[in-house]
Amino acid sequence: MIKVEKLHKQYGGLNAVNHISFHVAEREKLVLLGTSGCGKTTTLKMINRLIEPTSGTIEINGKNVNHLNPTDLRRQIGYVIQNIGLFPHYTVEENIAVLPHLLQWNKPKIKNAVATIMERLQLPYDLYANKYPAQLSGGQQQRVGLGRALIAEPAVILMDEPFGALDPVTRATVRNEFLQMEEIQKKTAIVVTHDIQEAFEIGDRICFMDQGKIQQIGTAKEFIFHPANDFVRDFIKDQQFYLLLKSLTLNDIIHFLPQAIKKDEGMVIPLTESLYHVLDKMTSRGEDHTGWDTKNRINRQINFSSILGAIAQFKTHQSG
Amino acid sequence: MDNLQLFIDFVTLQSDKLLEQIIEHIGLTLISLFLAVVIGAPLGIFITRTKKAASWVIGVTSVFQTIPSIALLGFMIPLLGIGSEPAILALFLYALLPIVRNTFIGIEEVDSTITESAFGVGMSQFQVLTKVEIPLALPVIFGGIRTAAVINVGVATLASYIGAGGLGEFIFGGIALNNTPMILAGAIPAALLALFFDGSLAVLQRLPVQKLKWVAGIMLISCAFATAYYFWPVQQQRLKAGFEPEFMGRKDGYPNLKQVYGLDLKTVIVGPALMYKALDEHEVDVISGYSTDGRIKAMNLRVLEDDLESFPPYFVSALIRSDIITAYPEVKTALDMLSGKIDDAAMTAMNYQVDFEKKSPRDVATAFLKRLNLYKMQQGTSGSTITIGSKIFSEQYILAEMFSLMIEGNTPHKVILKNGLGGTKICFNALLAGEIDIYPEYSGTGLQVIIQPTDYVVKQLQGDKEKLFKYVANQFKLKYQIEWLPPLGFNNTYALMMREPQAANLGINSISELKSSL
Ligand SMILES: Nc1ncnc2c1ncn2[C@@H]1O[C@H](COP(=O)(O)OP(=O)(O)OP(=O)(O)O)[C@@H](O)[C@H]1O
Ligand SMILES: [Mg+2]
Repeated sequence: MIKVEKLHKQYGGLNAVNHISFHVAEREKLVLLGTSGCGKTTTLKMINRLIEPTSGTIEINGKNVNHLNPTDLRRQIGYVIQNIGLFPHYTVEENIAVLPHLLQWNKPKIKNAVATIMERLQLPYDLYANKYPAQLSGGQQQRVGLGRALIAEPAVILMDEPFGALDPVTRATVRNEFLQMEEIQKKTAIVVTHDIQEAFEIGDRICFMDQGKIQQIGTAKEFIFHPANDFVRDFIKDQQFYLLLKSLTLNDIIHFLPQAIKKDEGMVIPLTESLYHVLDKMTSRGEDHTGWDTKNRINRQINFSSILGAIAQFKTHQSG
Repeated sequence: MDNLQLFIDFVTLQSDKLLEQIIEHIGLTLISLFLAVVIGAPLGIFITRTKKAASWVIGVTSVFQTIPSIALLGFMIPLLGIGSEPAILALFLYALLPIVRNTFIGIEEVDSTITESAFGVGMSQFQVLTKVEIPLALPVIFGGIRTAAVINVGVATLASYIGAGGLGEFIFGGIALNNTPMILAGAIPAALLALFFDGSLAVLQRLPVQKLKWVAGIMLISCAFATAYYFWPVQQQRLKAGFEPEFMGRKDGYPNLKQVYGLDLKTVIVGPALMYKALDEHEVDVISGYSTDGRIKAMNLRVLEDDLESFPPYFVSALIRSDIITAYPEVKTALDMLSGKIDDAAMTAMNYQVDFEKKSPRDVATAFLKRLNLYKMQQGTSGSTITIGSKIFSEQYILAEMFSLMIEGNTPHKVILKNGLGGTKICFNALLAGEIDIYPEYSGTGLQVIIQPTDYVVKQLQGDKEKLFKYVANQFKLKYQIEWLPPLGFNNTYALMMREPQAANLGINSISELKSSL
């Protein structure tokens, strides 16, 4: 869907983005992760041509973006800017409806679309449609920004720190709601963040950058079990255990879990569930469960010690 | 109370004229402002796109703003003549800077994340400008327009100096004629206009952008109408007269001329400093000057013979406060030596030397005194300081220098000159207030501008310049404790003048012939 080849951007003597290449498949969510100033925003803006690259090519659906009219290109790509960037002289409704107006949709259609997207984003239309950005909280503004990017149903969305203005608790909630949204699941997205947990939460794959270069690109598991270099290893070190629990599912460790003594006892947990989730559930509902899936009718003993043991074995198996 | 009554009487009597001036004033301000917005705002926007041009454009518009208004109006005469066009151009140039600069700053200050997100959603350059940048910069742009409006209402008063009318006619006429109600009749509406423009722009500013478009449309159309009205070719008379405000208003000036000759010229009011220039540039054909003016010879002008004796001749002498005479009688003695020493020819020649040969007034005065053996070296500076003033034309400069040389040569006092004081009223008030001690004045001006007697008295004095001088001298001593020293000798009277070739062409030698040529 999106193909980036040897993309390069130079500012004076600084290589803000240094010959990077990656692909994003249809419906895939790629996260650009890295510390401040590593070139994430620059990369994103080159994709919708807010910045012209020094060299390199970008293709979307097989078309070189340089051969497209920038305005038309941008109208087909949802873009959530790093600092929200709502229009202060427009109401919430007018902000969200900017692109439909540019595309000259008829009025009922615009209103309908705005109301729908606002409900999805938990901004009741009647309460918020006529407010101005200055009257909203940071998180509400951010949701309006999302609404503006999503309203015209672009196939591709670029999001630069879409949850940056939120406190950690709201951030997690909004993010989860966001990931549940059908509009999002259908889309090909590149999401920028400098938060590792968020990156692992959102991304099918993660592109980890430093000083304009890609250090590693891959899935969460690849990052944990096969870090490309010491720099990557260092970067994720503090969060290792959390990331492990988040990225492993019951399925991954199923062979290392002991057989259940009695069949069909306790709770049924789908094997696709992350270990983090499983442990989370056990904390609230008590230990001793059976894990199984409907196809294979596998029964396994699931409690804190069995899981931790299985993880240890899985890790030695991976490195061995 | 009395003054208020005078003011009300004046306004009632002159309400037609006042209304006309207000309309002219609004017209001048609005049209120039409109042009400045139509050109300045796009220019301001343009320089946000080409930063290199920005400092250049803002620099040039700033330069316009630093040119003194009268000078700018003077520069306009060779380019556009006199009347509304040069006035509007000058006002336009003044209004340009605040509008260009504020548009530039307003747009520059729009948060870059906002413009970036506008580009990001897919707005074109033009859409970003019209939907985001301009609306967000509007308060700042409006601030510039309001500043320009207020500046223009003020500067538009000066438009009356180049025959463009407006409330300046009352203000400067009032100053020239020492007529306070007249000054106020011009100044108060001008101040109210400034407040009105500022206020209504402030109201406009608060309108939502949608409505603003309508208002802008209406403004555009009404300004187009106003422009058309202004520049509609009016039936031109063959000869056009440019008179200064004092001549227009003084009883012994144009009003008397009209009465005596039945003359009805198409007149425009022109500032005294710009009148000769306007004649020279063929902008007007007849002007009001003084019979001794050096520019008559310098510019090759023909003085029309006053065959029906409409302009009475007047004496010239030094006006001096009585307390100065008491304290320093030697000053009076020194100046009295000039009594009767300057005849018409001598004064005209001296004016010519200054106006045309560009000699300094001091050199001309010194040479003259040397010829009469009145010149003495400065005695010293042990005495007090005497301040001498003069009005803003050559003859006054020369006389002031001459007084100064006489005092410094014959007394121990030293003299400070305060030259170029605007007009009669300014000189006279400065004398009364002790800002100056002496200045040259004309008996007719003393009578008509300062004393302002009844028609009966004027009739009594008419035709007898000695009697008139005595009357004026007595009145001044009684009312103001100011004395007229014995006349210097030459007569000075108003005179109508034309360019020599044109006058010869039309065969006009006298005012009667001027009348019959119309
Ligand atoms: N217009 C510019 N001119 C010069 N240097 C720039 C410009 N824009 C960005 N840079 C530099 O390029 C580098 C990458 O910037 P970029 O905005 O892409 O960082 P980022 O990864 O998005 O950082 P953050 O997480 O802080 O948003 C930085 O070192 C920045 O200083
Ligand atoms: Mg960034």
